[in-house]
Amino acid sequence: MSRALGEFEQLILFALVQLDDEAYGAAIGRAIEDRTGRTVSAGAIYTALDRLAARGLVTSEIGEPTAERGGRRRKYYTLEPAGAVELSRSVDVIRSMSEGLMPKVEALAAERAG
Amino acid sequence: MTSRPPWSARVLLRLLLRGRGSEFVVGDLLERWERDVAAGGVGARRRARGRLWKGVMGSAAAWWRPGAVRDRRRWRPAGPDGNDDRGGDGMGMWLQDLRTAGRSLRRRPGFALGVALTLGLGIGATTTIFSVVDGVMLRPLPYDDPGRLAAIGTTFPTREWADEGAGLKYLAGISMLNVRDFAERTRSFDALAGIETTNVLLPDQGTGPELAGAARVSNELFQILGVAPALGRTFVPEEHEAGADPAVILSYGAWERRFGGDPDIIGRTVEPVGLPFTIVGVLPADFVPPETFLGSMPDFWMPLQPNHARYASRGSRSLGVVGRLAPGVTLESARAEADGIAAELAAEFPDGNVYPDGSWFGIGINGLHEDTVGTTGSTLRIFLAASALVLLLAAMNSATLLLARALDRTRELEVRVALGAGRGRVIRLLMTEAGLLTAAGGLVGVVVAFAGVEAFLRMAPSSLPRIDTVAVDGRVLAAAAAVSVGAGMVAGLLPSLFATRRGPSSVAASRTTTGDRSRLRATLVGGQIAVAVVLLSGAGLLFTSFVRIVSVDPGFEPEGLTTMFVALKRPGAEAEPGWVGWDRLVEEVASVPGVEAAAATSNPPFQSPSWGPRLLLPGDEPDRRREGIGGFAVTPEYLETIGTELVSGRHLLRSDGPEAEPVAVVNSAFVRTQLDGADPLGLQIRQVEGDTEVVLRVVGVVEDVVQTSADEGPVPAIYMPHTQVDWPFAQLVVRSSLPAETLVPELRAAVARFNPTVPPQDVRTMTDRMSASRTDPRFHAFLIGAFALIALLLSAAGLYGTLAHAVRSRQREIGVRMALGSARRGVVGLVLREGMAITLAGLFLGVVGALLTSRVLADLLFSVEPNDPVTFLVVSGVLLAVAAVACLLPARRASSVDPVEVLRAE
Repeated sequence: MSRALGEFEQLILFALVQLDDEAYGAAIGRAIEDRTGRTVSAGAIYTALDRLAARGLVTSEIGEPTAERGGRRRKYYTLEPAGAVELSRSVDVIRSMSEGLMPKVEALAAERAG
Repeated sequence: MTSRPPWSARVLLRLLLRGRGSEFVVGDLLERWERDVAAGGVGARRRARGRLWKGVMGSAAAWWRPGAVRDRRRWRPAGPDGNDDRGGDGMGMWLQDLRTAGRSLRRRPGFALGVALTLGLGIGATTTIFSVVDGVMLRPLPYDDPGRLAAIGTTFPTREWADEGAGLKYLAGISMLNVRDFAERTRSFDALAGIETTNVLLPDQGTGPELAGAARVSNELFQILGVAPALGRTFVPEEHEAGADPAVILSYGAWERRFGGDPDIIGRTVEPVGLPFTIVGVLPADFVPPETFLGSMPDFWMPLQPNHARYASRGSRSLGVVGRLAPGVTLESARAEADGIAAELAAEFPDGNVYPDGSWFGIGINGLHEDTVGTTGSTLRIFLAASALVLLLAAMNSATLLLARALDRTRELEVRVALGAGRGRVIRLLMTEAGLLTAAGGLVGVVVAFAGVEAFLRMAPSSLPRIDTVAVDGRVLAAAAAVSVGAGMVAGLLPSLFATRRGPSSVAASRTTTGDRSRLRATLVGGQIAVAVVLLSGAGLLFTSFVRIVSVDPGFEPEGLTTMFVALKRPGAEAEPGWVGWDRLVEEVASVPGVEAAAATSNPPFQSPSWGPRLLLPGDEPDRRREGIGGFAVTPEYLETIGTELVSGRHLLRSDGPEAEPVAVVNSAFVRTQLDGADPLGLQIRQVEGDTEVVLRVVGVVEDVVQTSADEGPVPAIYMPHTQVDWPFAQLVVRSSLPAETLVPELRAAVARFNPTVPPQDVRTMTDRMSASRTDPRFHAFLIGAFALIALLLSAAGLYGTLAHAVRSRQREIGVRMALGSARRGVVGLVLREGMAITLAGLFLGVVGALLTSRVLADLLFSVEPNDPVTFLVVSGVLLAVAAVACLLPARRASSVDPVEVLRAE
């Protein structure tokens, strides 16, 4: 049993799902930023993806070099079935733990804000 | 078309993101840059740049986290990207080099510390001066689109104003009527705004009435500079009409200090004597007034009222003007237009615009930034060059140390080569060491820079503009990093290349000193001495100059004199003739116990004369203009009170009253420059003022009194009794042996008895005045002197280190020589000769270099030529003495070599 996915790793895997076969570093960064408003650096994305690849959760593929990248190639990532399993498991963990508790959590948060 | 990101970012990308898989990260960052730039819109490039930098730094941080590095190294994929650089993981090798270098430096902590401190001094000195140059010269003014702001003022037709290059002219104030007409005619400016400094008198709050700094400004000023008030509003057009309800805007500081930061201040009134000003706004905290017009932040800002009676004359040039150039208009075309308008105004309104000989006042335009920096720019460039020399010297010094170390390690390095390390790998190892040392030096440099900037700000003369902008910040640190990299290259590359030049076969030969090797080191040490000589010469010249300034005979007795500025017009005495005020004031002050003498003048010593009377000597054409003569209105006791000696004739007397024959006293410079030395006693001088003419009889000649400052040279002066000149202010001069703490309150009280409404200003002892006039030369001498001292010490250390190292590595040779009968003295001579040969070569080069470059100092020097032989001799002597000590120590060590010990050790 491997260790649970971190939050950042979950975000990345969700981004892979959303992007299908267009998932390379910059696109993943944009997807995360668009949905969560959080900026993440390319270095962090690749580091995390390397880790995920080492665990067999994602695989990668090298694209063609393009001019706008200064002649550098893209590296595309695909979510493997094993990765999908891990992702759904870690979301389940949160979902089952939070079951029925969210109203209370939100009430507490509102109290703090008010 | 793709747009390239800033080169600094590209370089950093290359340096920071290396190793397997980095290609994709870098590609992503560049791709995002492209998209951000292509998005267009206002500030797209700036935003893109910000995001790029954030991306680079963030990615690099994530890339080099220990966990990430480990993962990359452990994981060898069979995947398509496994071919990047299998086998020699760039990062792994680099880390290994780093560890090796760190280990080897830890073994020689003294050496490492020495190099780091040396480089740190150089980097710190350069960074300090760069932060000053950056703050004063490079950083744009803190206004909207500052490149299009210009200063506009009056230029004088006859006076030789220094042209500071690039068309920069000294600008005096300009009259309101000329500003109005200029604004109507110009097509070069979108907007113009006038600024005038003034004071407001605040009511007595228990500590006596207070004069507060104030400015009258056009409302356009705030629009031109892009300033929005923090509270309330700026002025409305009606408030600029003469007689409007008086409105005032507070500076942020005044709002906090005088009104406790009251948020409901708008609409309240301040009551400076008689006038209930209504506060309409508060300026933002970060607003900096244009320094070229306003030396310090005025507390109160009032609307300039162009129709006010005080602006009726074109001869009253009281306004500073700032303008915003219209789009596409260059300074050159604006200047050309201004020349034309000035000629038109002179033709249409000759009164106040034209001199008797037909020449007229010009209208000059400077870029606001250049006008603010003024002549300081060239001085700062000299400082920067001097600090760069210190850095160069430090880099050469470190190179010598690193070279010596590389030579000591020849055997180790050659073993590495023999074990299969390529030359490139060895160079990398040595460069990594140099890099580590430079990084440490850079850190030391940053510490030095923080302390240096602190010290600079404390000591810098107040004449330095924009001093508030100077700070060590990101820009400065980036420069320090760049400088460190450069220094590290110089210090590391040379020795690495040299030490690895020969192949493994040279191991056997490595114990003898080869010619090449000592030549390189001698060159490096000689270079250091040469640089030190250049800096020492500069410091010597500036120091000599300072000493000469201090030893100028001021022409009076400054000790015990106190001066203060007093406004003579006072309520209830408007009808009496002006001279009555002078007499009352002097009487009141002279009656203070402990005051030995009191007098008043329009300008005391160490202040520029503010009046240039138009004088005609017998035989002058009616339109003859004698320039540069200072006119002084003085009470008869003035010249005796300050202790100026009479050269011939008599002093002014009380009997030279308002009804008596007009008389004058002149100084020696007047006799020299205006009369070619002819005896002036009895001479009739015509003083012309508009349509009136007075004939003055010269009754005495006094010695020259220093006016502006000692380095300006004596001003031809004419002293006239206060009863004959109408002058609204007086500088009170008091001689007393009482200490300032007791005297000054008494004097203030006496002035308050004379005029309770206007307190005296600028109360200073004469010695303070003199000392303030010398801050610039003192500071120049001190700063360059400090650099020269660092240079002298570093180069002496370099010389010592090199000779000591040579003696150490030649112990065997020396031992053999002595065993063969060579006398100890001969051995000492051997080392001394080598050291002195290097020193003399360096000295010669340095003197040539100094002679070639010292001309840049010409503007900063007083009564010493840039090639002053005495200075150069003294500098050479000092250097030779220090070098002799540096040579003698290793020489003595060589002579104490015991041949038996040495040979046995073999």
